[in-house]
Amino acid sequence: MEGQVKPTDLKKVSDVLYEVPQSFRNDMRVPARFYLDEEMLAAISNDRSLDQLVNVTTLPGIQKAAYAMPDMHQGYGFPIGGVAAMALDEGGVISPGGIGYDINCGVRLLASSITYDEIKPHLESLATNIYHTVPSGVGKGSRFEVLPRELDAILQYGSPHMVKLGYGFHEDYEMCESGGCLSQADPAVISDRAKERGKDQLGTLGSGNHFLEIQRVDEIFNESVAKTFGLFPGHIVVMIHCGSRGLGHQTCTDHVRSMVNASAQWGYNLPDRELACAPFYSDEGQRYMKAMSAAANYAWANRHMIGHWVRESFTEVIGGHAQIKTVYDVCHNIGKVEKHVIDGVEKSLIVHRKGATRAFGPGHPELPLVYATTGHPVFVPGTMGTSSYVMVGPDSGMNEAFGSCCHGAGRRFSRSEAKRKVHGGQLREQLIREGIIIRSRSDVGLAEEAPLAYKDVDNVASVVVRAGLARMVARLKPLAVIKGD
Amino acid sequence: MKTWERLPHTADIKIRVYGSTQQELFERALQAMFAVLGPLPLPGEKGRVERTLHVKAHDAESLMVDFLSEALYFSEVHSESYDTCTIEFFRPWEIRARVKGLPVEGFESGEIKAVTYHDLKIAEHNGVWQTDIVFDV
Repeated sequence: MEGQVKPTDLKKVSDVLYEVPQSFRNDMRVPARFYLDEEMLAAISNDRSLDQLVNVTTLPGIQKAAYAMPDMHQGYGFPIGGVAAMALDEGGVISPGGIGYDINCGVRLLASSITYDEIKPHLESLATNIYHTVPSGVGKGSRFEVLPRELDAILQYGSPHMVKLGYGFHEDYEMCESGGCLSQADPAVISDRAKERGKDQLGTLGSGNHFLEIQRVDEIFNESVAKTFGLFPGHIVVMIHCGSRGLGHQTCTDHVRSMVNASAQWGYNLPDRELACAPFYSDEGQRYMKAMSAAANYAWANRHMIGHWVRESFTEVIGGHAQIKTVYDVCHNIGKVEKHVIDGVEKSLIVHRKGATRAFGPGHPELPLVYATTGHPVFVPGTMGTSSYVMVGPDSGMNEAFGSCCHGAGRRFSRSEAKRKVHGGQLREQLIREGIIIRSRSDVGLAEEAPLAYKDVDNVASVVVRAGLARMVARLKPLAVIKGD
Repeated sequence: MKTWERLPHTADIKIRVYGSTQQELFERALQAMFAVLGPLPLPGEKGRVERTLHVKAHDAESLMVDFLSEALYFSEVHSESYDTCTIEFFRPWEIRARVKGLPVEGFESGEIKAVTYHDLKIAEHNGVWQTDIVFDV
């Protein structure tokens, strides 16, 4: 089709970095750069992720390049795995589609003082306990309903407010990107519809590719950084992957609608309505920034609540000596105002990460003190039953992609194709044979999330390292996968 | 005439819907959305439920997104699924529709996060109205 990126349009910058030059299309403002090796490049030839990345380069105020991480795949508007930064003072736009419907979908890792040998006899009970304690929130809601005034406080203050309510500890939000709260939040711009959806979903996992895993630290690649992160071989960790639930989905829906209207007024000729945007400093831009921040705070409060219940489950099943600490919490669908140096000039940017994770190395002022000399942890969840990775930003402090990294394995097959290739019940049995405990109601859901539907996380992680985006710290192996009751 | 079909999409759900009129297209789109979700009826509940949806938008595609989003909103807050849709009022660009269905304990495919605008183009080809719709899951 005319205008579609073909292999002959690509410039190979290195073995793991390719570019669609700005000259490819008249409306591109910067090049499109993506991190893949040759084998992975062949795999994306059938999806539209490159065309989508090229579309992103047309957005006003975009700086340097539109980037895509090795787990990239087709999305809508922006590709999944996309990073784009717009300069606030150059008419740079903010786009809800560049952040995603699941605002602040992200990953939290908790580390325990318990070893695999100690937990082994209790794993089934622990998995069952967590399964019943942490609802999926689909069909039926959370364990409790939040009153309107309390919900507003959570939207305003995020994780720190949960501690004030008596859940968890202040270290849980200190060890969290942005301290578990974006200060631009304003609950008043969250719609009644979004609040109605969010009031009984706090502490729920959601469905699809969201999960909670009990894992074992399997291999350490960087001993000193792992020690700083509190990760030791054979110790038990818990990984939580979820986002802002219906509140976030509704918030994005509300603002995509208003941005679609606004884009016409701003005179933007968008190749895809899902790229709908407005200047960051416009009324629509500011309303969305405030709403996105509030929804992000809800997501942090959500993961904070789930972390609290995981602690309770450990205490109930293992005993009070199981010390559970938050290692860190990263977002992978978010927009952050950050300062970056571009051609020697420091600029304030709105950095969109959609299916991409921040990966700041040592020295950044936003780091918790304990991570000042290492950089903060970065989590790359694998697929069900496969390894996940803990990484850390580069030694230099900031990589070329605005300090960004991948967020997981990235899909390669559609859900319907996965269901055709994989029988959910058989997958469940196969995982059990491999020694992985599964707590999930839906075999259909399992099939859709089968490992073969995803790229190989080992390959994705390898490209990240070879590209200098981040460094490997540890590999985690799953012991139990919980998908929420 | 086919009513709807599922199309491949790497990470999300994509459907193509057909109708002999625009109105029928909208009705089928709503039914297709819940069919593809795969409702799990609430055990022991035999009663039917009914809701009225009323949305306005500035063009046909936005109306489709808003209409389906409204249905999703009601579905989530009331834990319901809708299998029948009758449009009582339809004009550019406003819909009032009565939807009927049942209480559910969830859906086989989990949940739809949002209705997207991606690839959504309502058009008539040889007397058949058609559009693609991508749902974020």
